[in-house]
Amino acid sequence: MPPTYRILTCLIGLTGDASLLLSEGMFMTFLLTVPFMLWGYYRGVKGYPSAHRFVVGGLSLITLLYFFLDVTTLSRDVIVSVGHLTMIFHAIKSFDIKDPWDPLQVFFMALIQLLLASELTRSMVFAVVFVFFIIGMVIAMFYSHIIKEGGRRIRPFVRPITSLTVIIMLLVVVLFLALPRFRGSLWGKSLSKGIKSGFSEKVRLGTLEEIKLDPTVVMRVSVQPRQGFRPYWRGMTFDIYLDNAWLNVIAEKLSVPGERGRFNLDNPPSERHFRQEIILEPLDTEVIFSLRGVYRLDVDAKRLLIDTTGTLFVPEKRAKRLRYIAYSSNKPLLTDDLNGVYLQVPDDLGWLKGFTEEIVRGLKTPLEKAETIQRYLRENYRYSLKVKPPSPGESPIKDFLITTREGYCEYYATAMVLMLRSIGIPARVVSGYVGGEYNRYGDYYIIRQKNAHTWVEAAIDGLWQRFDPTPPEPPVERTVIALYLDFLKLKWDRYVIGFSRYDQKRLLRFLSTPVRKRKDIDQTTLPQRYIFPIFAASVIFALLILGYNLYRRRRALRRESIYYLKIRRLLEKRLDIDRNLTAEETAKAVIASNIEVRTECAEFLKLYNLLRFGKEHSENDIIRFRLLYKRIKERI
Amino acid sequence: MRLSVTREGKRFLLAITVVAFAAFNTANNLMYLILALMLSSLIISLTLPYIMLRGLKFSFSVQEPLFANRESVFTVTVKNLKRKVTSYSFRVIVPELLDDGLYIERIEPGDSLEFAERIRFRRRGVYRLGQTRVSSSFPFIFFTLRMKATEDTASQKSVVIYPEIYDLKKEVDEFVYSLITEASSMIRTESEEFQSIREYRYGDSWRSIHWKATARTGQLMVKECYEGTTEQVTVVLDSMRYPSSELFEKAISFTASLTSELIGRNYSVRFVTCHKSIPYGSGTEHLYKILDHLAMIEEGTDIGCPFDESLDGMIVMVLSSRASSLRRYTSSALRVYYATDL
Amino acid sequence: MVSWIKELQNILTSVIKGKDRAIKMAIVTLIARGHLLIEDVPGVGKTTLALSLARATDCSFQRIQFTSDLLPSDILGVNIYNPDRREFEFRQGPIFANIVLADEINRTNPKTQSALLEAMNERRVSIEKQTYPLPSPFMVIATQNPLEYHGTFPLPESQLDRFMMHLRIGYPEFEYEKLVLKEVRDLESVESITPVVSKEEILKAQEAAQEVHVDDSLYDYLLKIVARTRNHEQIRLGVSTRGAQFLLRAARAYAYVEGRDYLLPDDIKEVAPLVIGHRIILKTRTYIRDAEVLVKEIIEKIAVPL
Repeated sequence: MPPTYRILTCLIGLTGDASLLLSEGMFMTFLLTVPFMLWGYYRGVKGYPSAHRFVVGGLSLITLLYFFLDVTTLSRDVIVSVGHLTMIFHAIKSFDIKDPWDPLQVFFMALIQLLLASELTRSMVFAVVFVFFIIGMVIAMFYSHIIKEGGRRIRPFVRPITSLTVIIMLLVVVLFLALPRFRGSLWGKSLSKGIKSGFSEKVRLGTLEEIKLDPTVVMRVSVQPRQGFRPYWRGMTFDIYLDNAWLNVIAEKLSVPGERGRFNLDNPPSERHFRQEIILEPLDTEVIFSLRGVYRLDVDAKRLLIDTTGTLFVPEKRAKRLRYIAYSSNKPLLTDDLNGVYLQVPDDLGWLKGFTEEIVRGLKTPLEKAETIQRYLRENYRYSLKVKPPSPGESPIKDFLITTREGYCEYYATAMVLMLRSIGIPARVVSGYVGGEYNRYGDYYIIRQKNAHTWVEAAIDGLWQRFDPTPPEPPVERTVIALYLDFLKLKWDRYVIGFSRYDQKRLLRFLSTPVRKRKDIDQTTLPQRYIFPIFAASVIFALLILGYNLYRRRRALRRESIYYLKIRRLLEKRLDIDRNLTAEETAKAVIASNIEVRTECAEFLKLYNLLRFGKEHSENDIIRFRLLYKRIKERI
Repeated sequence: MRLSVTREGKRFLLAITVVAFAAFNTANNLMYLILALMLSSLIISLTLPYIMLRGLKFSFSVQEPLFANRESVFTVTVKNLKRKVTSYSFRVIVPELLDDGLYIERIEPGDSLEFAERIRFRRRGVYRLGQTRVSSSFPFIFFTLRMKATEDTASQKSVVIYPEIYDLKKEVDEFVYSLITEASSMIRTESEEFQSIREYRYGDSWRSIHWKATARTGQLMVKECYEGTTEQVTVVLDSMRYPSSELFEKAISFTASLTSELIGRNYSVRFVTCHKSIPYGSGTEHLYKILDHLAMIEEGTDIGCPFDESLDGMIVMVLSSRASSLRRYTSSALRVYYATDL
Repeated sequence: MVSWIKELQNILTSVIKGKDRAIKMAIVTLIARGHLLIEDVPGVGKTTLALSLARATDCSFQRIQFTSDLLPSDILGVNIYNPDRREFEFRQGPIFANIVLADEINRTNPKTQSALLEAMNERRVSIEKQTYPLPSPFMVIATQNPLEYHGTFPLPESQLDRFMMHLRIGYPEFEYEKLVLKEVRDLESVESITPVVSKEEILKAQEAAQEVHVDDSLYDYLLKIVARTRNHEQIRLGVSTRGAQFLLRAARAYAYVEGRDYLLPDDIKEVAPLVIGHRIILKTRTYIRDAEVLVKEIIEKIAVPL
């Protein structure tokens, strides 16, 4: 077995291991198997004999035993355990590669690892590993073919391997786009994580954590005019805090009158207002988001609901993106719906009153008190997404306020609402999104799951004033590379992870109507925005390659040779002449034939010889040559 | 054209099915990516072999003369008629000659390559070359495509394989000795008789110069005589009813070797079987005339041997067994070989 | 086209009927400054060809009949004591002529053979530290009888290499042979040839022929042919670099004879079998294909430059 083949096998094993190690959930201790694997292959390349049968068998048995332990007690996850198993097997196998077919097992194991990784991760690193895997796999399978055919060298095949890899990559893209997607699973439950918005009727404290890490895009908003403040995309409110969970009990949904997708909620304000064009990804909630104070909404839906707290609902089962235009004043809402529940505090939090009064001592107005509490929380508590669950029976809020003093927005907002309530100021928790990534190229905000936020609204002076006790997350200075990577990640998340049958449909429609005017295509939906340039670029690229190839072929030939070849092709059709005849031999064959322009042909061929091989020739010869070329071409 | 799935191919197909099910089931797009990779490999392995094998033209030639069980050179010429595509990694399979196939690494468009392979025909007779196939499992190892090779019209279509010839020097030495001792007196007188004397020509043997006439005329003169009237041998091969076909083959091979040795010693040989008789002659061409016949001869089934040749002169007989119907001629034969004894 | 070449060809064809190609190749060899080896049975006009070529070109002619007892001095010449002048003086051998016919060269012993071949190659004769240049133009036409093997010394390959071309004349075709029979005057017709060209013109032509323009692609073509003979399965020994040089010279001369001042692939194709054929050694001598045919096959398979 050639050493190159061994090294290649090793690289594929490494790729498989890498795909797992870069996924979430794997035990990093298994990184230790990699040096062993390298050692095993190194021995193989150096020509040491493979390990003893019993050693390999014994180790495999131990590994299997470990696997059962792993599944039942250590990781308690089948996928992770199988992943661990494959990594150990890779290391063991590396000492035991004997006949040329052993590497096939390694390739197969790497494929399994990749499959496991596909279930464990959604990160873009998978793409990198996958590309490596394609290249390695194509070369390795090719090599195994060569070995099977009895060859040893891979050198003469560098060119076909390169083109093969490129072709396979293109095919992968095409097939990925074309393979049918089904709505639901046929059997069992998907193991992958879907888009969870966290906007249900009941939100338990400590569940937002996962969402805060999710980079999935939720919506894209372009705002007219651009505002200078941090936008709060208001979703729904919660009023009752019970058993460590927020509930929405008093809100009552009303249907908003409207026709042809245009719903008027209020009179337009006289002051400035904001027009927001929003594209909302499919979420598991009916709530829609906008700046507060919506007075008009245009949406392609039959009904629009609004509840007493100002939350808007589109009560349709949505499986595709929703596009709507909201007009907002971005002013605090009126507190005409004030209700007793906004003062509700759970019984076990009786100590909170004293705790809060200590903070607001000496302050008169509710506004001052609220601002002080907001400042107090901002300055004395640490923002953290890693919140340990409280000890059983312990309230997470008490834990947050007194013990750990760290948490994220949900904790801050809950704490502030409850503190306000304890001193008699009605308050509620509002959830939605804050900020977003401003994309100056399209003048819009990209809002992701991780922008999900909870804040506070307190009824002060007849208005629901907004407070946000969460300390602002430190702004991240991003380099150009980071921004570009982020851009790639965005595309990866959108077009690979999030590729759906709707995208397929849209792509199909786009491809089937290439002549449609750009204006008709929804400017802000991404497939059309990017696929057309990509398509155009690839066409141009293909044409360039074709042109270059033609140029290279032609450059090698002189101009007279091109004319000569053309005539030869014509003659080959008429006469039975070998391709490898010289011009003079062709001339002889033509003279002996019954072609009507045979004398011209003979002269043409003679002139070709003169021009091609001759020492010197006159301008007349060239003119005559071209003339003859035209004449022959017309007459044959 | 026949496509076969290899062991690895079957496993690969199974794996594709499993992954496809998993992908459809989980709607995990990363799994779709892996499925897409596997499917594209599948598409490539199904289409490329056809592209590789298309537009290839073969011609075959064998270095003649051919003898059974003797190594010979078989030349395969491959021409790639495609304008753009290089053909990689395929095999040319010639039944019986190259069962494993001749592996060709690559052939550029428009190029032609020649391969010389050492081969060995196992049996005498006529061999038809036109059953060649090409196979390719390029670029992976999942499928193998086999198809009939396109042969050049100018390619050699069939060849004659002569029977195996082995060294019979000793045997014939013995035999010649008896030839000389037993029949020398009669032969000698005839042999000195020459037909005519003519002028020396280039190419004449110096041994044949007639010195007396040369001295007389002043020019080099040579004698021209009936060479070999003296050294005539009739080889008789019984071609009927052998106890087994191996013995028949043995007898043929022995006869061929014997004839070859005799003609090699400049004897004039007549060859007689139950059905055919080739009159006296000498020289390589005559040998091949006899060998041609021996290459093609088939065992007869008649009981008697329809034999109307008058058997005179020196006779060597190769008979099937002691029960041969030609047994009655053995009395006039110089030597009789039985296939059962060979 | 130099007119005298055409004239020369016409004259020779009128004397030797039906052998246009052989005549042309002989002229090509003369112009390429090469030597010619003719292998054929006697009586097909080798001598007539050599003699008429010499006559028509106003060249001196000598014929050496090679026999087994021929000594090198019989060819090259010998120092003879001149009693009058009391010194040794060199008496030139028959090789001191423009065109030398070396008849049946394989009949003589290797020593004599190599004396001739050395003189041929160096175009001068060295005897006892004295060097005598041979006249120019100088061309040896050697003949070899292929049928005779008794008492002959076939030329080894390294010696064959010194001949530019190896030619077979062959029997004339039926009509031509009939013509030969009809015409009584045989030697007379050779006698009647008058020179159509002077030695100086031949020397000029020899120089001009080597000026024939060769396109770069044709060097590649030629080398591809040569390279193929070196890695061919049926060839034991391929063409040497000297062989390649000879091939180029011959092809140039052929182009010149054709009246061109530039080389065509056809020229190479035409002369290559004759120039290369005797320079390769086959692995097996099969009776169907001999070297010349094999070379033709090789050439057919090599792509003609476009």
